[in-house]
Amino acid sequence: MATTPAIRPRPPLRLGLTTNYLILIVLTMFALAPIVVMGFNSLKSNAEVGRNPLGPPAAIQWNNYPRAWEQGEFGKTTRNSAILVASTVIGVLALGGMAAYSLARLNLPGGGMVMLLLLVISTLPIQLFLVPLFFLWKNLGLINNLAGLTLIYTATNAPFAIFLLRSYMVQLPADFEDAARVDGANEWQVFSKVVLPLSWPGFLTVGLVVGLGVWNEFLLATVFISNPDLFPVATSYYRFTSRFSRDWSLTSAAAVMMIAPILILFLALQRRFIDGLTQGGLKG
Amino acid sequence: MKLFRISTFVTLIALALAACGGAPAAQPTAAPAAEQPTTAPAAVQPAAPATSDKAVVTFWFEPSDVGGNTACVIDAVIAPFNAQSTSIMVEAVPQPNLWDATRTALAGGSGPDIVVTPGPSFAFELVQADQLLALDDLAQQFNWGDMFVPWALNLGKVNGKLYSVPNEFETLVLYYNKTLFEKNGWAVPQTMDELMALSAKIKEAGVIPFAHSNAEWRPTNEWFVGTFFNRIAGPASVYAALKGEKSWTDPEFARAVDMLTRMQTEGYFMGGLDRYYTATGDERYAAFGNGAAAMNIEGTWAMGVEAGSMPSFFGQAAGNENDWDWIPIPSTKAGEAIFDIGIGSTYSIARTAKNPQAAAEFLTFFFSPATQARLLKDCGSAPAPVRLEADALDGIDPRKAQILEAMGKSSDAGTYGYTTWTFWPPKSDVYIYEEIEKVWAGDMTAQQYLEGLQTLFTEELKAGDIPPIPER
Repeated sequence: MATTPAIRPRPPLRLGLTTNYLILIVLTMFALAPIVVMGFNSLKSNAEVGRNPLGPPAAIQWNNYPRAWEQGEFGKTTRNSAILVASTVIGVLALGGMAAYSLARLNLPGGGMVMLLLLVISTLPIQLFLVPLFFLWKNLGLINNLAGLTLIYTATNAPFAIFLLRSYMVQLPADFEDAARVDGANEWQVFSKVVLPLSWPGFLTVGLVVGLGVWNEFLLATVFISNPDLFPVATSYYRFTSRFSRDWSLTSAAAVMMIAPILILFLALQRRFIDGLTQGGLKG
Repeated sequence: MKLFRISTFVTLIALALAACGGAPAAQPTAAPAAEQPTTAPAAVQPAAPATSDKAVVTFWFEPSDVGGNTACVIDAVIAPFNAQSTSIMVEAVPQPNLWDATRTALAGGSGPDIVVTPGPSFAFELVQADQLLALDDLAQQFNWGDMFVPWALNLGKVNGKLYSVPNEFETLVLYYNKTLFEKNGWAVPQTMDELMALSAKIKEAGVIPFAHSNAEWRPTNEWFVGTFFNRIAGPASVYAALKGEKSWTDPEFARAVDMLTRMQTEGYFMGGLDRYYTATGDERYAAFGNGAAAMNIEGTWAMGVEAGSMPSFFGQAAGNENDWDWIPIPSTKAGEAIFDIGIGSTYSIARTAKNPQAAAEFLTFFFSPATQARLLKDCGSAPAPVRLEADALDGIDPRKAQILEAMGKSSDAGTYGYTTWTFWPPKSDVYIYEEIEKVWAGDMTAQQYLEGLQTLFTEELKAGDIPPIPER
């Protein structure tokens, strides 16, 4: 006589879940602790940062923020950085996107060589060609000019953008493009109306990475800009240093102000960013 | 082709956006004469707009030299000069990353007219690249010989020609927590042996002997190596070795390294190597100020006026009742006061300067005793090795005034030692502060360390890379 095997209830996953939560909590704390410490230190006096570098402030010093803003000239430097980020991201996405499409889809003669060249160029440290570049920029009148600096940022970030976007575009099904061509679309229309919307997550990723890099860049900015009115935000930190030490309370307050716009931008775009990544290029 | 046209168009839009959004680059010669200020500007600017008939001199300076208080350099130096000069306009720019920006710009055929370097060995590097102007004629014309102390201009000579003048005359002293010493009945040490004995006693009392760390500045190591060379072997031996007349492997230098290593291994510096390598400047100053640490061997730069300088960690504002004082770092002989000469930066005129005469006139103003006194009082800057007037030290912290007076006497009497960052050639200097960590870690003996130094130093001596050393 056949008997129906009893369906055993699955054992509760409490232990596994608890472990997962514990690991996640530890990882979250690991990620957030430095930001929390920075927030704490931004509200302490310098002497208290030395006595108590990790704990919450005993006496809150709100005036660290206006002092850091004023001493670091953040009004000016933030504006300059915003211009640099916006123009570089536009330049990199426009040039990188079209270059990536050409290399991914147009079967260019010597396309492989171009990719190899980009790879080699992107591995060279900037210090190697800093002096010749400075010489060239001086003769072109591009020193002390945000446009001149934007050109350099665009050029130095373009290889990364091309690599990433090309990899993304190669994976897109060619059927969409073929269908557009059958409907009479030219190459620009195929790129702008079909490939670009499908590659949106890739463009967003490149934009965020490049924007963040430009926002934090220091060496090129200080070499190619010597007009204080054009200094970017990363130079503001130098206003809180002495020769062998640093005012950590003002530095922390400045750091909070410097990361805030990026954090807000990321949080605002996070949903689209993750949605785009998970949906990929196959949305109907 | 169409893609190319579009990409060009987009790039042009991006560039136009950048160009439109940014402030225009300084155009100092275009402003009308009426705009010239007669009073000091309140904030840092590329000075005031220049009149069309004034010679423009460009000057970049390091904001961190004045604790970020760049406005005080403008107020104390630039504005008074521009107000009093009828023919010269100085454009001053606080340049973060000053050294990288300057050497790149000079190599690219541009850069400021007044070239500031982090020390004589860096100026020497620029002389070798033929980027600096010989200043002998200008020095004679403006009587710089009378303005500076006797040995100072020798520091800037290369192959007998003057290329740089020293600024920020500094030395190392032993600071101590005076309140803590009085409370515990500790006497300030007179000799190195007494210092070692006192350190052991302080440690026994549960206090850290020295508030030292190198977390924010690895070359901090060299402060101590140089200090011990000059105190144990003596300045005469150091001078002989720097001239190549003595070997760094001599036992007296080995004794110096051994003594320093003993201090590290005993945990006298911040309680142990782990804290020495990780404590920030604020942490060690806080420990010194609140009495967790008793002493600190450091340069005169520590007595700045800005927040974050050592004195700001003492007293009620810092949450303690303590006070500090200083003594010369003890040597092997009681009562011997040796002050090591250190130069924080040098000033030169670029070979590409359009108007060297105007640049020299500004330098004469900058290094005048009156200007140096203003920088000292208002900005807390270390003064250049110039002959300060009697009242120059009025109004500054008396302890700082005492150190400056003692430094001046020591320099006149020739009882001075040599800081590594001023007198050692570049590769040997880096070796000194990097490789000493292997000795402290027990991976290298003092003798091996000195043999390595001697090998490197000999190479640099042969190559002619030794910075100028004033005769003893």
